[in-house]
This record gives sequence, C-alpha cells and structure tokens, in this order.
Amino acid sequence: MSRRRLLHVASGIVLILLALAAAQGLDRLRPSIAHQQGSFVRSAPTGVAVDLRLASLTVTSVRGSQTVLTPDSRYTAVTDGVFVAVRVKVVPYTEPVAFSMLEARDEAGNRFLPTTLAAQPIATGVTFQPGYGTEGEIVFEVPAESAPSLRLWAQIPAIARADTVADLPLGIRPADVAAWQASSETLVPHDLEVSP
Amino acid sequence: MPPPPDQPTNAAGSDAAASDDDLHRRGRWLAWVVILVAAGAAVGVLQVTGGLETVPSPAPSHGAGLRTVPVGEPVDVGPATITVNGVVALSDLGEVVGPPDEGKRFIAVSATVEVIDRKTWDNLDDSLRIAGVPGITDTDPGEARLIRSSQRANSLQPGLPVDVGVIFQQPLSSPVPRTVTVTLYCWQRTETEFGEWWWEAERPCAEVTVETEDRTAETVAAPSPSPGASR
Repeated sequence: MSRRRLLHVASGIVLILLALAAAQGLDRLRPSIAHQQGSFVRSAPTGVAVDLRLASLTVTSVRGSQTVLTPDSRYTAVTDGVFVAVRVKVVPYTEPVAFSMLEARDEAGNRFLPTTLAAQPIATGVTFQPGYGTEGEIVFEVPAESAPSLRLWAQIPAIARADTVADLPLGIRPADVAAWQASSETLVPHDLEVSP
Repeated sequence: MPPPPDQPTNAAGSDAAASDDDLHRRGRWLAWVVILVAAGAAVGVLQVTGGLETVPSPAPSHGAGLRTVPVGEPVDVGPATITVNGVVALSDLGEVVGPPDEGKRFIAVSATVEVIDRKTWDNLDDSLRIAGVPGITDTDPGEARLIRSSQRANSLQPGLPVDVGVIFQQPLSSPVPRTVTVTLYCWQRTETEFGEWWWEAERPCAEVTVETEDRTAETVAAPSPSPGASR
C-alpha cells in the first residue's frame, strides 16, 4: 500500500475515533434516567398542605420523647435516641389512596422507617377514603443528633417516577430534642381522628 | 489506424490497468468495510462492557467461605455489623417474651447490632442461626428481641446500636450444649439506576463458637407494665 493510501486510511480511522469520542462526550451530557424520570419533590412548612396529586398532606405538629408506649399498650420501649411523633393530616381528593412510602430523612442521608416499637395507625398500605380528612401520628426512632434536620418524605403511587413526592421539614429545634430527652413522660401515639 | 500485430494493443493495456484499478478500488472498499465493522464491533463491546468507565471495586464477596470469628469481634454482614457476645440457656425470659413452648427451654444468643446502612434494617431474624445444639437444626429461625425492653428487634435504626438477644427454643429432653456455633449470614446489596437499594440473597459468611452459660435454674424478674403513660 502506498504512503498516500496509508495516510488516507489512517486519517479515516482518526476521524472515526474522533466521531466516537464526540458521541461519547454527547452521551455523557445526556440526563440520567433517574433525572429524566425523577420525582417532583414538593415541600411545605408545618401547617401548610402539600399537594400530592391524589391527596393533600399536612404536617400539623411534632412531639417527642425517649420512651414510647408499645403497640400492645402494655409496656414501654426506651431508646438511646428519641422517638419523634409526626402528626399529619391526609385528605384524599376523589378516590381512596394509600401511601407507598412514609419515612423520615436526616441531612446525613439516613432514612428512618416508622418504628415497630409504637402503634402506627398511619402507615404504608393503609387506605384513606375521599371526602374525609384523617389525622394521626407516625412515630420514628432516630438518633438525637438527627432530629433537628429531620424531614418527612411521603409518596402515594407505588412507583414515584415522574410523580409527586412530599418532602416536609419538621422544624425540630435542638432545644426540643433536649427537652424530650429530659422528659420522663411516655409518648403515647394519638388515635386516628377522622373529620368530614 | 490499427496497431501492428507484433505490438501489445493499448486496449489490452488499458484493460489490465482498469482491472488493476478495479481491484484496488474493491480493496479500498473492503478495507473501509472492515474498519467500519471493526469500529462498530468495538462500540458494541464498549457499550456492553462499560467501555473505559471507572469500574467500582467489587463488593466484598460474602459467603465465599465461612471465617471463624472470636466472641466480641464485629462482623460486617452488609447492612449492619453484628458482634456476638455470648450464648445463654434460660428457662424464662420474663413477661414480655412469655414462657417457652411446653417442654422447651430458651437458647439465647446475645449480640450487639449496629446498622451501618443508611436505612432502617428489619432482617436481623434472618441473619443469625445456631448449630451444634441438639434438638435445633441449623436452619431454624430465631426471634430477635431488644434486651432493654424485650420488644421485637425488627426495626433497627442507623446510628443507634442496640443489644439484642436472638432466641431459639430447645427441647428439654436434649441436654444444654456446652458450646454453640453461631452462624452469621451476610447480605448482598442490590441497587437500581434510580438510587434505590435493598439487601438480599443472605448467605452464611462467618462462624462464632461460644461457650454456653447455663442459667436455666434462674428466674427472670418480670418487667413492670407501662407506668403512668399519658398522652
């Protein structure tokens, strides 16, 4: 093969490699699937309802203690952290809804599921009927240092891709945590309250 | 004017040259086809194998072989570390747990569990088995309880280490074992492209041989029921 042809072939190979590199670069700029199909995160402070497409959810109050009444209502459980009871109000719009996720997250990225050491009348899988507002508490057990940054995350659809997720700050102050730790009162989760 | 018969014709020469050019042209096309096919194959292979992307270090291969661990040494089982502290034979675990089934005693493994995952963990029951105990097979599940409150230990939180007892029941007709081999099960992490993950496919990964403390003659004081709980 002559030198000219060699040069011709080599330049062709270089062009192909450059095209591949450019394609690879463009591919890296493409948003990830998680980004393309990610959730719509909506937030609201305590007392303000957030629209979850099928229902509204409001954090109405937060309280805590180091001791909680167990689900059988006969014993207590104690933690080295704190039990945080998040009172919420759920109002479905037109159809029965159930949460597929209810968890508390801290700023370190820890994700706390509702504790099994307390009764949990508001839990994933529990159905709420339209036409009624239901209030109740969700109890989490968390390290004391996690409490001030705690946020409630909730979603209704089983797959949250491209759907709404609530991210609700709980507004817990370090002073609240200190008071909960100092208190000897046992946290007794409230029963559900249903209002028209 | 026609060429002399003893000289090669220009037509014959031009035919040979044309054939030579055609051969070279085909050769060039063939070379391009080979290059394109090779490039396509290379892209395909890179796509499948991840190309030049940085490959994360493989997760520790849990379950590749059981390693022997001394009492008191933490074992990373994936979502948590489990430190086996001892084994006790008991005839009573107090009011919350209740008595053992008729004709049985408790064999309890005491351990410290610290969740190292970012999520609440609820699979301690499936992470620990015992062997070498007459009347209990090495596949019988235990029941994990918090030592502090005797409540079920099935929602363990990140950042809150707890002492637990994993309880098994042994027929009274079998003798209290002198030693118990505690088998710890390690979990594999599976993650989706959406950032969700879970732990599955638990397999035995470590063994701890523990001398049994026989306290079957003792009676455990019942915990007092909830004192003055208020809303």
